[in-house]
Amino acid sequence: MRVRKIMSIVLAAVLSLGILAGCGQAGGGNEDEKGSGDTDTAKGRYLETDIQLLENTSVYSMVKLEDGTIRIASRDQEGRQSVWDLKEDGSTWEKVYDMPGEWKQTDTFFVTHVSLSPKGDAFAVTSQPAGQSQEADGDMLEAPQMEDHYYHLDGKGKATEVPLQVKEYPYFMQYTKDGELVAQFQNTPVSVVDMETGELTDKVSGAEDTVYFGIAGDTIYTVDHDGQILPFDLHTGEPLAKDENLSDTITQSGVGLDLHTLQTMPLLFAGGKEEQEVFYCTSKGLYRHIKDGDVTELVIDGSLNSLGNPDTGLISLEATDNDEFYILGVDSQSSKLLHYTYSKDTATVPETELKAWALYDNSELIQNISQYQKENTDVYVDLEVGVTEENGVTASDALKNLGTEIMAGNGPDVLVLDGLPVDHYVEKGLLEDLSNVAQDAEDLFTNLVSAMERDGKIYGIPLRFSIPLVEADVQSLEKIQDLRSLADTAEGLKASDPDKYVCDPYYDGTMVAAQLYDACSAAWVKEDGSIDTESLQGFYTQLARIYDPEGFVDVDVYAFGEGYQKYTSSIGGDLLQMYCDRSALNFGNIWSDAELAQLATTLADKGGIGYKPLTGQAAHTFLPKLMTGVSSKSKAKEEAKEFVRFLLTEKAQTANQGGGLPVNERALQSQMDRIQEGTTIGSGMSNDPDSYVEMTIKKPSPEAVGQFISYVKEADTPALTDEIIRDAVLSQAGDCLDGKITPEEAAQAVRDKVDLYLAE
Amino acid sequence: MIERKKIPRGQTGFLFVLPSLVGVTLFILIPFVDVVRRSFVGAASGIWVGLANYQTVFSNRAFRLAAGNTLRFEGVCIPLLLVLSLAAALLLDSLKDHVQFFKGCFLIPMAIPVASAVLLWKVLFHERGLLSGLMHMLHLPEADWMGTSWAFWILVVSYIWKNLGYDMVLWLAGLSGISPSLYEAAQVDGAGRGQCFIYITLPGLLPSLFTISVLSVLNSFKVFREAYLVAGDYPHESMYLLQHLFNNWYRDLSMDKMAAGAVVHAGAIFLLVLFLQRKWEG
Repeated sequence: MRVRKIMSIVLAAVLSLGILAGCGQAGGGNEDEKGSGDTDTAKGRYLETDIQLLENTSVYSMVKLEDGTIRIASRDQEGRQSVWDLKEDGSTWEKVYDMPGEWKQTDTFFVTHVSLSPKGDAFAVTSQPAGQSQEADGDMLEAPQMEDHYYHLDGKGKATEVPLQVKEYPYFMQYTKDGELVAQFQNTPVSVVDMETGELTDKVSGAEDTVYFGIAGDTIYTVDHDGQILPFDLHTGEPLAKDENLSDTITQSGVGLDLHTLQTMPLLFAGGKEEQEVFYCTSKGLYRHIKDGDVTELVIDGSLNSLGNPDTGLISLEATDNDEFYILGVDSQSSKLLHYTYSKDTATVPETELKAWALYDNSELIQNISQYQKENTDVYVDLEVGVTEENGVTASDALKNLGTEIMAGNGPDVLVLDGLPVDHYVEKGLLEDLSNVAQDAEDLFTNLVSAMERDGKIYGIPLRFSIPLVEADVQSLEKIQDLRSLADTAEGLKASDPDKYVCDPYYDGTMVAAQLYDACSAAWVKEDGSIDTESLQGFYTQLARIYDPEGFVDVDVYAFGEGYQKYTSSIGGDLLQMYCDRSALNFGNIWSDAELAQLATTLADKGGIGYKPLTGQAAHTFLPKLMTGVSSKSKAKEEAKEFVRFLLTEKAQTANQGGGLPVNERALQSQMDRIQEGTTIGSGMSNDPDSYVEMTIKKPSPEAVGQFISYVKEADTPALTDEIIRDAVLSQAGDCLDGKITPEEAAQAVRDKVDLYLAE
Repeated sequence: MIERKKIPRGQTGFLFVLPSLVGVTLFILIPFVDVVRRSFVGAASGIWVGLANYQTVFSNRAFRLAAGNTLRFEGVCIPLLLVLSLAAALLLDSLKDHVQFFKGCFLIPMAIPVASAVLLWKVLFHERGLLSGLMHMLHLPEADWMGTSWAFWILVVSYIWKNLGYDMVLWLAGLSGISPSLYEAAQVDGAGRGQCFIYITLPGLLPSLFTISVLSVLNSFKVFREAYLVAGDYPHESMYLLQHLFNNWYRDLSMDKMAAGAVVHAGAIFLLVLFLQRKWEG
């Protein structure tokens, strides 16, 4: 009996302790894991290096020759095409041949596709004028009709035209290891091209719905519109049994299989050394699969290198006999040849983990993380996004989840503060002072960073920004000094030229209010933190003078979240309208170098039009974006600060996905330098053919860039970034401008709502 | 042969309660002790601040508004619900046929999921919803009902609609506990229906009143789910309740204010329950 009793007590104690142990802080061991090397860490990982391509070249395609040499076809800055082999040292290029000199790219002659064969020959497609202009409706078209020509090039570059039996635009083409060209043209199935007769023979049967395809060993994998991956025998073209594991792994990985361009594909295939071996690559990484096997193995984790970079487009993949990989890709700047080699001494999983948290997804940040991990192979930056399309979580719930993690000691190291209650976080000492980080950074617009100071400390550094501008004829522009004079000018312009509009007719009152929000919002909060109702009433009053509810054309605009905010506040929507003399006044935030290029083009082409920073109810305002802070609770503060330092470098700041202008001056200059002159942009409503307008971009002159930068350097007043205040102000704008409530009532309604929020 | 020791009668009950007591202690009492501790320290620093958090809370306009609204809501809803549910119970008790059917009808709102109820709210009370449509047909002014002071009364109606059946069932249970012989004796002595109600029914229901009142108060806090799902973090001021405030404080990591507010809130409910117990049970 006594033994049983003792046993019972011991068991109960063990059980209780077991339960309590589960309640303990799991972070006990984490402290040691973070930022320090563990001698027992598993080693071995593929590392990525960029193979230097010839300067200013654009690469069409890549192939692994039968002898293992990597070959590329490229076009230099003069527009001439050549074929190059990568020498054995893995870093220098040897020219194999130049393509015909008459193929030099001009405004009317292009080499659109080049596909290389592992046997040394190649296939090229040129696009050139048909030789005669066509008549349409009695008018001569200025632009000549273009037509495609198809050529076979032998191993020395001698081109022979292939009399292809279809004259369709080519989509994708790839040589098989036997030197057979498999191609897919517009409106044709996947076919084999006969180089002598130009005849197209169906390569696979029963795959009419194919979007693109890839070849691995003796199998062609087609991807159809439903995202199904179907295997076909390369030799017979007959469908093979569906490789369930391969198909499921790819489709369930979350990769958008339909997101392809005429050059890039979201999914690449390559064969391996073994007959049944298949390698495939997506933005998630590079995987190995044995045909019809049950396992797919992740060989290269895309989140640790350029594969996961949203700016990287994939063109082709080759696996070498010594287990290395080459991936030809392209980003917004240039072609990339990525080389992956196995490093047995590198930790399989990076030893330092940095947790980053952002309320909304941000492509620039993902791009920067990818760049940072590539340069720091021992660091893994794990970005968690609070609100995504997939999780359906509200911003409020996402913030609560973040708060729970922080209070539990598992919070992120780096925080993107956009949409976060920054004042509360600062008040509670949750953010580190980043003054030193800001001081260390070179070429920053220091005025933008200093403007974020609180009590001499910087808790968040904006990585991007936008500034409100106004565009009008020079005389009107001079008169605009504040919101009231903007309204005076708008009324004057409406009266003097009723055919031109001063607000986009497709913008409702809320959207027009959003365009002026950042130029005014800094004036609405008093020193004691309460809302200045008088100032807000003034905003609605002047807005009502500018906006014309009669002129509003109601069309559905679908936009959400951050994108919605950017879309509605942008000056970009009406830049073309000013250019085409349809609009007399344009205002809103400038978000990108492309918008600045449009402004500069208008100024260059249209005499008498100018722009300047918009002074609304506050002067020298800007909207800080991608505000980044470091958690004071972080166990890896120094590593986190190092990451933020990287985010401020010219290299990181050059990343451009349209999320705002960089706070690094050199990066902004660099973005301007890359603007391509001659690009034509146009816009119009599908239900109104007369609304179509277009502009041929001119590169901004150094003076134009200098002038814009001088405007940026004057900005020192951040607009209100609080989303609750923004929502409250914009939600009243619609009713106020439609005359349902007075400006006074609108301001009072905002105050009632926001004061409660501020009082909390 | 094993000799079984008899457990004293008083301890048997304790053993039955023990599992629940352990759960309550682990998941409610001990965490609440931590909340009390947090109400005296800084939110993130953990530094002792004395009564500063309580001072902040009591001087906070949002807390005063939320507490006032919550009190107003309780003050309006609880008596109204008690009276209406009692009336429904008496009516049902007096019916001879279809009692189960009517009972089921009253209980249906309890079976409707919150998400569906919220959808119903939106359809009814949106600026362009059914109620506004009806007003338009009657040439009366339409309104954004949830954005005006009507929001409070919509919340009241919603609460009563949802809980009327439940309270009614509780009253019916109380009514069934009153011996019919008392009514028969009273009738023999010449008492009318009113006198029977005042002198027999009401005193007989007094023990039930305490339980029903406490349950109604506790259920009233659940109305926040509907209010939050319809109007979000910042509804119209008239229906801004303590749960809205706590929810927002949690979002902003204002654990110090939240802890102090929670202690005050819990204290108020505790005192109310003690008062009712003394008044109606003691």
